[in-house]
Amino acid sequence: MDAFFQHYFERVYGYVVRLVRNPSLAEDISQDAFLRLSRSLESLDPRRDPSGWVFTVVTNVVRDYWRSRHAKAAGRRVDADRLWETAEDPADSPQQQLERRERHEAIQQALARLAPADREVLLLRTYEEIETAQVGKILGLRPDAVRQRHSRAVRRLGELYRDAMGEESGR
Amino acid sequence: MSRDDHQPAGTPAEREALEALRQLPPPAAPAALRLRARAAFLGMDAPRTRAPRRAIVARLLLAAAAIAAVVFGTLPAGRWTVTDVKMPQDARLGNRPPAVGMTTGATAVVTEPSAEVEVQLESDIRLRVLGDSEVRLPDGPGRWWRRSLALHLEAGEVYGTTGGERLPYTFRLKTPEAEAVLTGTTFAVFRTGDATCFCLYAGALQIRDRVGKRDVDLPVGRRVFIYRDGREPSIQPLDAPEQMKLQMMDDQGMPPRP
Repeated sequence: MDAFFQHYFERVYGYVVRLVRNPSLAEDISQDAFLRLSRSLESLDPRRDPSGWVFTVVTNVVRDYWRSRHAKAAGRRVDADRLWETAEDPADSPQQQLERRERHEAIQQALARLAPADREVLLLRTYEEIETAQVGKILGLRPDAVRQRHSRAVRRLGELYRDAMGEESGR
Repeated sequence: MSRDDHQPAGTPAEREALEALRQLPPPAAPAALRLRARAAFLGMDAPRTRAPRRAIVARLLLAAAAIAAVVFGTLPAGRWTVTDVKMPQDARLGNRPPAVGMTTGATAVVTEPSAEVEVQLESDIRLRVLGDSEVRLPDGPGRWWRRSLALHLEAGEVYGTTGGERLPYTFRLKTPEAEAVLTGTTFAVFRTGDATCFCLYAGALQIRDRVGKRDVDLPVGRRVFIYRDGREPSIQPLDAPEQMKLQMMDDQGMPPRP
């Protein structure tokens, strides 16, 4: 069980904090999510990849918090730039490091401005690389609906990223 | 992996954005959170940052509010008021003789041949129950729900009007063999030994023959007999006394309640 926790903890926290964009709320949600996971671990089929089940539980916890007054009081929005820091690669030149920082800040801004439903599908499909059918089960959507939502989210992300990169470059 | 996992994004900006997303480093979780979450997962005692009871209390309050809303929304928003009585000692409103100004919810109105009782539901509908009749009045409509009412005519005759206005809820006239929906109407309905008769003076009635299972179009100024044995309904002109009483009903409209 400890190995299971160690494998999924960073992924769960990363997914949650990017989704809710509030580190304090993300901590509460992540802790509650692991509590829920531990309660239903016995029903898990050990022959199957548990990622779908993990993210289903986590997504449901996030949605419960969104519906709660607590989440509304805590506020969903924070400065997206402060959510995480850009990892520096010592092998990069100063120019490369600058470009990397610009890309990261631009994509963070773009993600922050997406609708929560678009962020959900992008984080699950693109970042976590979960298959469409499994994402459908996590979000309660048919595979076609997942594909449509993902296409729309990618289109929107591209527009926002392009705008953010334009701002980063000072054009 | 399925085929769609390898589909490339469309524009260069979209491809760059997706690549940038994939390259995002994972955010570093606080060490204290890791300890708490691990303890929660492994079933160890761990301090919680939020009390779970709050969510349960919130859900109970929400359920209570929903129940209160349903109850409130279903409560009758209006009552019947007696606006005129002829020979009150020969009539009953529930178990009491009717009196002008008396109000009631759902109840039975029973009249001997010599009595008549007139009732009004807020400013919506006025009914006159003639002698030798038995009628069951419904409760007034609910504020948000229970917006379909039905008056049951067991015997005798009722005249009525909505004052030319369409009702903001559904009001049916029902007998064992027929029913009609008022749509802004001055009308009469009576039962004979073998039929229900609807009379239409103004507006419209949506009439349904419940035995013959057919809808009936009734022109203004006509009446229709719906037969208990299911034979074809019979449409006829209004007779003179009916015409006169309906005209008076329509002319008076909806007077102020006492």
